[in-house]
Amino acid sequence: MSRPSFTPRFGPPPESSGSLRLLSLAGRRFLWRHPWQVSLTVLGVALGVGVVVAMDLAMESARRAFRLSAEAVGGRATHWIVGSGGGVPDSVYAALRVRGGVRPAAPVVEEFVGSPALPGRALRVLGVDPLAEGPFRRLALGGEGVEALWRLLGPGGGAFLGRETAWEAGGGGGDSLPLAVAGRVRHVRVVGLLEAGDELSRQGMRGLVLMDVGRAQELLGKVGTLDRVDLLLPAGEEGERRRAEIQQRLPPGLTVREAEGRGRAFDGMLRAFQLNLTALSLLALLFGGFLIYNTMTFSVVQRRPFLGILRTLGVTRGEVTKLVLGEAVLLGAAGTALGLVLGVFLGTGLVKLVTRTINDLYFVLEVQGVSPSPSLLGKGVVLGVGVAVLASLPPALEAAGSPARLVLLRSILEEKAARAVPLAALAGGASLGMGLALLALPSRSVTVGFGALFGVVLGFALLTPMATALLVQGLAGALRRRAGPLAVLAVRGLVGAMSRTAPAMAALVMAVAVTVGLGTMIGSFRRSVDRWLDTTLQADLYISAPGLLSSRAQGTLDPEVVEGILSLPEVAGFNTYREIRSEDQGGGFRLLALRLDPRGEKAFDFRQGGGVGAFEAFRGGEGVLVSEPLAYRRGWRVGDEVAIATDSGSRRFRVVGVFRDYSSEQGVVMVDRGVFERWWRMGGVTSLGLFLREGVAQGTVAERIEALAARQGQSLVVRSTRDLKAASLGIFDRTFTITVVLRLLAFGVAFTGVLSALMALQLERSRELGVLRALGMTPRELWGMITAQTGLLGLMAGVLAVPAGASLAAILVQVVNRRSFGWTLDLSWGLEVFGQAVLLALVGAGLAGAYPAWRMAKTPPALALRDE
Amino acid sequence: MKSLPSWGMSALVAAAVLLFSLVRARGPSPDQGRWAATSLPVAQVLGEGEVAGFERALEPRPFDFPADHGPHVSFRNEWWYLTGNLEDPSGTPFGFQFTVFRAGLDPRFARRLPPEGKASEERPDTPPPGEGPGEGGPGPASPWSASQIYLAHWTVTDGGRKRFYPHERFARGALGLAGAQGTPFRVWVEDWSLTAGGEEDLFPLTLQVREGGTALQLEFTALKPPVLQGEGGLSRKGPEPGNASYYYSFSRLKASGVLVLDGDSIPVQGLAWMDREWSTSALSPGQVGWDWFALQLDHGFELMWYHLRRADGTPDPFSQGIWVDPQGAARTLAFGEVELQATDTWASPVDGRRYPARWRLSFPGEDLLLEVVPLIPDQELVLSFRYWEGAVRVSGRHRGRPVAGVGYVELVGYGEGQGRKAP
Amino acid sequence: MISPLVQVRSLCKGYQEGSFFHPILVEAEAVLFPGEVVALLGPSGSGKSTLLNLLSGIDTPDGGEVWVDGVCLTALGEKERTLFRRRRMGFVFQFFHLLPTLTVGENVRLPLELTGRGGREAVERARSLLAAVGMEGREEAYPDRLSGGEQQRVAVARALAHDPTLVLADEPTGNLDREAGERVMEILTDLVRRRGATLLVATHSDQVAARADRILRIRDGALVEEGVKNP
Repeated sequence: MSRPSFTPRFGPPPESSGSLRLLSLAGRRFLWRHPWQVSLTVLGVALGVGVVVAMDLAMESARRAFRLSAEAVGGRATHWIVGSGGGVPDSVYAALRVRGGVRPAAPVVEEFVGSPALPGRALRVLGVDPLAEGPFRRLALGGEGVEALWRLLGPGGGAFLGRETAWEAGGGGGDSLPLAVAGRVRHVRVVGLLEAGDELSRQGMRGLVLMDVGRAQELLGKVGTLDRVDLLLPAGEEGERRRAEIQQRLPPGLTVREAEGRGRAFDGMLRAFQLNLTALSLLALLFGGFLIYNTMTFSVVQRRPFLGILRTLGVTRGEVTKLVLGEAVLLGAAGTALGLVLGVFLGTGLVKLVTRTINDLYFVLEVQGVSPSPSLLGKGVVLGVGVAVLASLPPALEAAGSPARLVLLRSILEEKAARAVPLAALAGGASLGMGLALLALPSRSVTVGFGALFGVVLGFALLTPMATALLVQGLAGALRRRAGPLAVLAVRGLVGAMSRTAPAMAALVMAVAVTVGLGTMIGSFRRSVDRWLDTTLQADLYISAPGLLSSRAQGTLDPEVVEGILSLPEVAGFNTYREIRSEDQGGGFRLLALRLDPRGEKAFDFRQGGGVGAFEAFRGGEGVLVSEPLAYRRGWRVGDEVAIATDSGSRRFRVVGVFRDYSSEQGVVMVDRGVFERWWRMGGVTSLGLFLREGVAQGTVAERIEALAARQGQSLVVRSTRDLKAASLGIFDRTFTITVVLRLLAFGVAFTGVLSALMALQLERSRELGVLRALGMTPRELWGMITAQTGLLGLMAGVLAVPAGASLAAILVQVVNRRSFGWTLDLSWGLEVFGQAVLLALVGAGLAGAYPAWRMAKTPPALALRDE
Repeated sequence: MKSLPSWGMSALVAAAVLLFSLVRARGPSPDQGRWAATSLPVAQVLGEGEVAGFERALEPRPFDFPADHGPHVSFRNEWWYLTGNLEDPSGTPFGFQFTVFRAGLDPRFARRLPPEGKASEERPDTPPPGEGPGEGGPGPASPWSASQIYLAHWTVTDGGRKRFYPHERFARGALGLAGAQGTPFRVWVEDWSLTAGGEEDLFPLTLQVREGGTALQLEFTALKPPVLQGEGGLSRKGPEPGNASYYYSFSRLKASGVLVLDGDSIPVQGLAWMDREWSTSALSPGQVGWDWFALQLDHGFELMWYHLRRADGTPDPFSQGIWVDPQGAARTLAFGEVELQATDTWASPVDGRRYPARWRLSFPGEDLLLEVVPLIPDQELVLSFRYWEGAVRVSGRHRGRPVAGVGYVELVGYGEGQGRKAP
Repeated sequence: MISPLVQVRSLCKGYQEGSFFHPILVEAEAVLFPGEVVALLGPSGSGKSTLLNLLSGIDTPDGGEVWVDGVCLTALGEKERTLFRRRRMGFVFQFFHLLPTLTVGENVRLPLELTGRGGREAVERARSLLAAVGMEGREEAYPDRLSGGEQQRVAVARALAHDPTLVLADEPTGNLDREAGERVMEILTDLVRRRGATLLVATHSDQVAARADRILRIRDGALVEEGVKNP
């Protein structure tokens, strides 16, 4: 018999699925009937998206503020002529222009100062030559055109301020603005306002004090030198040729280099910082994804009969997939919307933390407000909805793949889950192995470090189900003999519900491990810094001019004041410090000219080299001491000859010691004061360390020093070792506030996930629990059983999280931190961190069990037994 | 420009200010934006600036050469102005203009310094001793402190290829960036300079300018002595006392040297005209601009005439000129002695503003009738401020005989008095 | 001659249970004609549900063929079988299997929507069908508010909503008391006959069998004709 061909005699094209309204309605109503589940999922996604968006927003706002101010003051310059710490002499600029015909070129004097009229604000004094400015900066002088230039250049010429800054300082045109320059207050006449053509330049002009270059030199005590000369060179070969030509004309010690600004410098300096924050926020999103996976799996599992009916009624697999994914998109979208709002809100708070950290550690930056860009919000949407769809893909496919059977047995699902456990463990092992392999790579990449970190975290997460199963089976075996049937039932309930418990456990383990890891890292870091401070702060008193960067000295001390202080009878010995920034192709570093008292030699904790010979070589002038981060980044080792730009050209010095230092991630090179005076033009002392005679009260000396300085009109910051240590640790704690906040947020997301997963597990067992109630179990017994179950899960998660967290901590401390910042931290294990973690897991799980237990205990068994 | 001292200063200041403010204008293209912003009305600009404390040109004075070739810092404004028509060996015509404006920033200098001449010996670019740098504090004064700022314009007109090269420079009188001195005479703005041949002699005077692939090196010698404009060198611009300048000219200089255009060196020679003027002055109300003519005729005569324009379009009675005979004897010309009629216009490609582009000039007293034609139409300086200044050819009849010649014309204040029209 | 609606040819199906192979259907043969009401009898585990699953294309046989209305179901892919089922078959289950999150009216409209016939007409049709099964005015109720008999009557309405040519019923009265079962069967057979559809009802109730035109019995994996009861 020949087979008739399949001719669709029936109706329109087979899949008219465009209008399966009832189908999606049925799905939505299901979600609606599980409000707890849904709201926890939405919350989880919202938290994940919110954290990422907030982080991005904070960094973006900081970057934008940086770029705007860099653009406003850096202008279109492509290259700078800079000195090796001592600036560029005026005569070099004049010679370049008059004899060298180098143009466009513009002189710049620039410094951040504070103002008693604007406490806590950083003002940027920018000295320019208005006649050379044309091609460079977008500054608009307000007022009647001709007058404006007069007021800037003319006799007694003053400063132009941004309108808002002037308003905030409480003055208009004609008033004078007090500025604190190296501990002295100087008054600058405000002669006009800077007009901003648009919002962007208005923001860039905030905190700007524009002056003529000559006036700025006088104000800042930089007469005769420029901080840099701006150049505008063409791109490509021609530019390279001109650059070389100009370089040729420069005296030794001066270099032409690419201009900073437009965010490049920002990204360069903050790369490690940003990477760390991004990694943390991605972790939060990962937890959010877990949550969605959980919820969708739950809804699919719970609706297997429902989906089975649909399949018998002729709903295709594609339609089922679409149905499930559609719901995920819905949840993801809701969570994302909420997350965006949350993110903007959080970001506003975070930007303050970020700004403070940047100001503490990197450079002076003022950030005004946050304005989320569409691309940033778009990223949030893509992340939120994307993760939602991705996370629900496995359950969706699983739902579609299930055969169109009418009766679907739970046991089949559990069998599958049980089969998946070893597979997951295998994958986990692979992921763990990959992470470890990445660690073994001889790389310095922070990204690779984070890759390894994620590999290890994921590995632990995937191994969790297997570990749980083994633990539970062991426990069940042990209980069988001693405990009653109820305990056995409780434990069995967990084994029998691997499909539900495994993801929840994995999420919980990850969350706890991350808190343990971050907690240990912060603890290790703080202890390392603490110990380092104890070693480093050897002198009794430290004196510096008040500056804007809390972590380093700015401005020099009055020589007479210095002389007066050093001749005090109470002073037994002293260190002097002169800090400059040394620029080179590698991004520069802090150069510290140090007059080291023999008493201060103990202050160095050498990672390499050091010893008596080292100090001899240091004082002899051929040796320099290098901080660990710099040595790490440049690959410098003791004995290496390194080139350092001086005002007399590049000179070679031998590295005689690499010392532990957490004060700067850019790195520090210390040269002897004598060497500095020989090869660099600028003198001066930025800070002093005093060793006092025995039995002298620090307080009295400090007061005498302050009085002495006040007579010379300079205000000084005099701090005892203890104050300085406290201040340093204060900065440290501020820096890590953001990490702590992120850690809490990440844990919040994970906790939400666990709550939702465990609640789902228990709610799903309604019928089973109803049967138990019907068989005569009291509500209290039921409550006890459920709590025992989730509590057991929590305990196991806590226990499993210990090794995971320890590995994480080790990677963070010894790989990520070292690669990010170049410093070594001593790993120290805080037992309380682990204790907290286990407790946290227990409490979290206990809480997660409480609600379902309460609900089940309250529900009459008949109702629970009833078909839904 | 020669006619209105204050204009130079104001333009200079306006230009500098615009360097800052031009960025505010956003045109459809960066260039247009820039030019759009420069249309600051001259009349408005002229009214501004600090004049108190500066000396005024009130009455005729004796001139003392060579000292008077140098700067007069007790007056607010001053300029050195050279224009000329050149030819290469094949006869291709070229034009050039070189101007240095000086503007005094600080009238306190003016009082402290001796009236004239010797100023140069006292380094006018250094602030008076003891005078603190504003309120910067008790520290030393910055070498950037300056009492003078300088602006230089340099243009070359290539009559063969019909191209125009305008250039501009600003600098303050500090750190040797720019300056002026009397003995030996020298004015410079960075690497552009005008230098006397000797300690006492202005001539041979050397001009050296370069910018990118364009350069000009010329040596000038005087073919006639200087002539004093106005009343023995006092040139009145308006009815108010002090609204006047001290003004003299070299009406016929021989120029020779080398022009470098896009890297090609071209030997050139020809005739040049030099103006010197200093004052502390402002435009009178109602004056919007001027047309200035400096013409050198083949048979040895020169005619200078400027035509002050009023807002209502009529010529101002303070319009005047000078007539120099081949022996160098000069006669000043009063309002009405020369009549000008524009016979064509040219529209600037930048924004379409119109300049007169051809004239019929009649000087009945000398029976002189001339047709004045630009060497090329586009000789507009679209720099920090805008005006038209270019080489011209003249031809006509003088006392019945045909005559020809060369010259320079300056047209200022067009397209501004009518208000700022968007391009 | 009337051509058969359903042809079952040499149908084989069994299940692997551990190391044992448990045969259910062995070379089963059967024919159903259009408009027939046929009862499928057999003890529990004899393969009634398996046969229904194979006839509807939910499951695939180990051997043999199933032809429905000229289409060889066993030669079709999963998706085509699903679409075929969606349009040509109606189901009544022992445990009713109404969708708990849809109202009674929506449950009946679901097959219509699946076959692209949603909208106003569907609402009307659902209402008249519900009236026909004695559930008028209950469109807005959710299934869990209904008794078993009521639920099954709604299920009957749903099974017939999209005018299937073949209705398969798996122990439709198995979960109902005698009276309710009678009522459901009466409505089911009545509606099927009125619409000219074919009904195969698996049951072990003689009462149900008594309503059938023919009886097939599964015996040792084969289908045996028991003869026409109501000619």
